[in-house]
Amino acid sequence: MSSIPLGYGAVAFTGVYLLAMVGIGFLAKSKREGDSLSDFYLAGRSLGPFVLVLTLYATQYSGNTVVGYPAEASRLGYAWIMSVSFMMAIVVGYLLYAPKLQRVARRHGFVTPGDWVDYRFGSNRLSLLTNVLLVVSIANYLLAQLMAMGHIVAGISGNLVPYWVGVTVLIFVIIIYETLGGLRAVAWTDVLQGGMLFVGLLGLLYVAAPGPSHWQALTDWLSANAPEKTAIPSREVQTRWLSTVLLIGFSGSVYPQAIQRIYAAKSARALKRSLQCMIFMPLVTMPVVVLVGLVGLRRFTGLTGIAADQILPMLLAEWAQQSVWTYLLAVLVVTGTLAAIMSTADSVLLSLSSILSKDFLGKSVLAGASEKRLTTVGKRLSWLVMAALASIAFVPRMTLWGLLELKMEILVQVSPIFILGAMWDRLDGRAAFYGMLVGAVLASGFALGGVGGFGGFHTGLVAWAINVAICVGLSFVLAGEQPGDHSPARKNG
Amino acid sequence: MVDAKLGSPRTDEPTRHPWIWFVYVALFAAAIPWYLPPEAASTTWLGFPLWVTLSLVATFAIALFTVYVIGRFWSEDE
Repeated sequence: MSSIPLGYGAVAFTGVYLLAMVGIGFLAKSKREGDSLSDFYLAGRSLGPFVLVLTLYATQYSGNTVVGYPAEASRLGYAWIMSVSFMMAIVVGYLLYAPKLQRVARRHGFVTPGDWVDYRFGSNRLSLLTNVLLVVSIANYLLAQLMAMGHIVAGISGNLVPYWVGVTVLIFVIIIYETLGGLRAVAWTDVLQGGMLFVGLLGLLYVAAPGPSHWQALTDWLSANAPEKTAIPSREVQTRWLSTVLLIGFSGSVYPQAIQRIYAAKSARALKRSLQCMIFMPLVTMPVVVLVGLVGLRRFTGLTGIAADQILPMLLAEWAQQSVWTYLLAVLVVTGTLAAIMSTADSVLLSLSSILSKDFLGKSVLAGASEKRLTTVGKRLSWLVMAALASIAFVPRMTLWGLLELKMEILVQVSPIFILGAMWDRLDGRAAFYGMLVGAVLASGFALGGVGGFGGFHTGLVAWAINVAICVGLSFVLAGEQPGDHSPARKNG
Repeated sequence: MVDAKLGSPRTDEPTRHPWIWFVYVALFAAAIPWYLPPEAASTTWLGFPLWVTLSLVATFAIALFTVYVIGRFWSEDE
């Protein structure tokens, strides 16, 4: 126990879990109904509400939620309760476009997010720009998951298993079950992973601060020793809160992997039921994460920057020493955390693979190739993507939350073509293209130039507002042109 | 605003009802403690600072409202 904080029991439990993942991969392979893209990437559009809610949960709540967010709570204090509202904003964001998208996608057999862009706007350059931004954003997200894997393994093993070994082994497990069974394997492993995450969080709550008397004691300690952590957030933090709700609400709801789950639902009813459950998940997840961060702050005062990402591993290692029950809970939590990270990584990887294979290669060098060929190429691309990202993950330079924010600033620029595109039939493809291009250039420029924000609002959100203004304004201008103009939306309408 | 590509008059969805979005704006605004004076931080409720509990109550209301909106204003016509 001295060299491996959670002992060999944890190693064995994690090994059984990883073998179960590979076993599910083989089971999913045996259930495949062909080599079509929709069978591999959308599980044959067969997901019911139970699998949908757990796959959405496991995908949305990631390594960042379990590792990065407690660290953020230790920095911001109770103000990080804002995470409940911004995670809910994602589900509310779906209501802006999912009803329409689900209906149209089913009718026309969409597989990737780009299929909606092609159908709605008929513009190759808009489709290309959308896919480039999606790939950049979610590759960044996948990188964050790989780094989180390494942190967890290094923390729990007392660095006996180095960061890079943890990253490498888990990458291999993910890629094996994913290439075996596609979304079927990913969604079924998500059921187990989402369930483990949920039970693990209940365990965390039990060990960290199980009831009002413990919460009161924690609040009293914070009030006495770090009063800024219990104070009503400043106007600046409140503005950041509002900005984060908008940024995450509009960007989180258009994750490619979330859009593909809308496509994969077996019916509108299944999707509705799953979202009715998903809306409660922030309430049962984020307060626990905030409490863990604050308990960690009380226990290890003075953690900042990258070290704060080690709060959860350090707490787990300490709890494991206290009793058999807390040891078992710590083992469950650490495996649940690994499950959360892997379930997000596998979904993002699958989306990346589908976009690269179908939307990039399928429209260029593999134009006209069979769906079986594109599926095979997609699997090989998964290996290449993981190898490239692993090489970056071996040299981490930013905290996990920093990685996530950068991704959201770019991803949010894509949201108008889904949300406005579904709500407003006058949105013109050319206006959407220029809006997205300007928004993405501005967001990237602000990030590279080190601009922190405008009056407390995220720079990406300001760029998004300009993006939306261009979409709307230019659509009105172009609508004034002569009939028979170049508008793809009109042309295909 | 009914487009041949995007929907039909029979299909209902939340974006066809503007009042729903005004309610969401009010509920999300209630979740941010801009309306409380700084001295309210010293009051606790259920072990949390009062403003934290109020924020959680507002988000619970968002969840209940969303269940209602999805059930009532999202038709299942395929």
